[in-house]
Amino acid sequence: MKKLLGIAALAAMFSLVFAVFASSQGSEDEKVEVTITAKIGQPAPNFKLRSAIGKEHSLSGYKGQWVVLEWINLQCPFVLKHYNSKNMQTLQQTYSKKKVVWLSICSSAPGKQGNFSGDELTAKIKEISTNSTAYLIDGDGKVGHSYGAKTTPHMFIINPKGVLVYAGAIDDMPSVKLEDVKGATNFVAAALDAGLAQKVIKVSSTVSYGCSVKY
Amino acid sequence: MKLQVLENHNIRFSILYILAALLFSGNSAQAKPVLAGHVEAELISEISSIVPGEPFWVALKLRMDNDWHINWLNPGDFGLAPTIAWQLPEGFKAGEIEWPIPERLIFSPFVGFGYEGEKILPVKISPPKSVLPGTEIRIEAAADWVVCGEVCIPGGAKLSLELNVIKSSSLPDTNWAQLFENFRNEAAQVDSSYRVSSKLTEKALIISVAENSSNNMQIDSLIFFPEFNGLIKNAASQKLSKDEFGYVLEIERDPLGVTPPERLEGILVLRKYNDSKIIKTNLKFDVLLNKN
Repeated sequence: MKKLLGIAALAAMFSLVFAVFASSQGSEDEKVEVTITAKIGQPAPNFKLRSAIGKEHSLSGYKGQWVVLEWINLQCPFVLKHYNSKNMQTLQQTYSKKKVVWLSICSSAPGKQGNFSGDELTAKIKEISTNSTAYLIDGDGKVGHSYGAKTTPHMFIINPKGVLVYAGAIDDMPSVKLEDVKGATNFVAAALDAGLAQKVIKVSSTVSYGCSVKY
Repeated sequence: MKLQVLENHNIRFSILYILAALLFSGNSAQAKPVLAGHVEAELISEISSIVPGEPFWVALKLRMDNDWHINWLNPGDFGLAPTIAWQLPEGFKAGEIEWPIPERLIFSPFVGFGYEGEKILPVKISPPKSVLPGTEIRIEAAADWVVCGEVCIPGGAKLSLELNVIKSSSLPDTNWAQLFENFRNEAAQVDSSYRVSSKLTEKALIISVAENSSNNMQIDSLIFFPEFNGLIKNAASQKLSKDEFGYVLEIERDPLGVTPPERLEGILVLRKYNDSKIIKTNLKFDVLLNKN
């Protein structure tokens, strides 16, 4: 426990130093007050978020399982490319059969694109026939910021030990065209396949493409 | 009987058509702009008639609504660079898009690289020697883009352009030649009067720029645009300082960064003092990225 507290304190100190450093650097019109704590090969930042159906999900609750985080905005054309082509649902289904937890996270702030609640959200989720474990709401963007989620989609993979092992794009075809899903190399599938087979994940960091997360 | 009348009409029309064609032949390069979403797109040519075997320039001309932009080849934190799929007459070849100097588009906490307002994206077209003078050729382009403001919207347009083929001495299309000229004046160039070097530390990318002829360059501002996405934190401020040789630009690395490239390629937009005036130079460079 003491050790854990020590790590937390260190992390907090680091975050503080980083935040001060970042804000002292930013010029007036581009102030960056984002504290990214996620790092490949390091423990993934824990979080506790409520799902669209009001259930609480915490990352620590899934320790011992592979977890995929998928940043989502159901009005973003890059996200719709992967849902309208059924690419995302197929991935979710394939890996949920292999006991992978798949959390779609929406960090759209209230009033911004992709932020839905209540019946509208229920209808939207039904419309995409998602196969994810849960659709989580990160309205204040804290979780998004802690992972450095930039785009929708932006994908993260956490191994059963709670370590972040992949961050980046869903695939290597930055486009909004449905037909580009075929023939693309899917980085998430490649990383999960390797990880589940206890092999080395060759590509652990790529540049995500998409809409900006609407913090 | 009826048929005959029609034929007569046809002949008259033909004569009229030839007269009209002669009168308005200078206008054959005109194509209408297409409005799609927040973008007005048009295919334009620098010259009004083409010559067999002589490369010429066409461009995708885009005009974005206020507060909307399209992206550079490296879009930065979000968005996507536009693409053009060409459909050309046999033997014609299209080059790559020549990108204008981008701007930093700030959508805190993100920064995109791209263009607002009106821009042209020129592409060199090389016709074969075998194309016949006196004929007309048609160039078709399917342009695709994602236009972004607070949100991103995909768009596209099918555009075309008809050009006459003449034996020799093509003339500029006075409607557009100036836009191409302006593009060339602004385009980033390799300039051997500057020395550029780069290195990567654990936390930052460091670019050094010096002038070969003097140790006394006075820079007003220096902005780096990387061709490679994922090396620097796009939104980080680019810190300029002076050293004994010239200037140093320090930019925070992307915290979730990808494997760095072997070489650093990009553009430096340099504004320096020349007496009391400020001169703008757009330096294109491709140097080894030193790592230690």
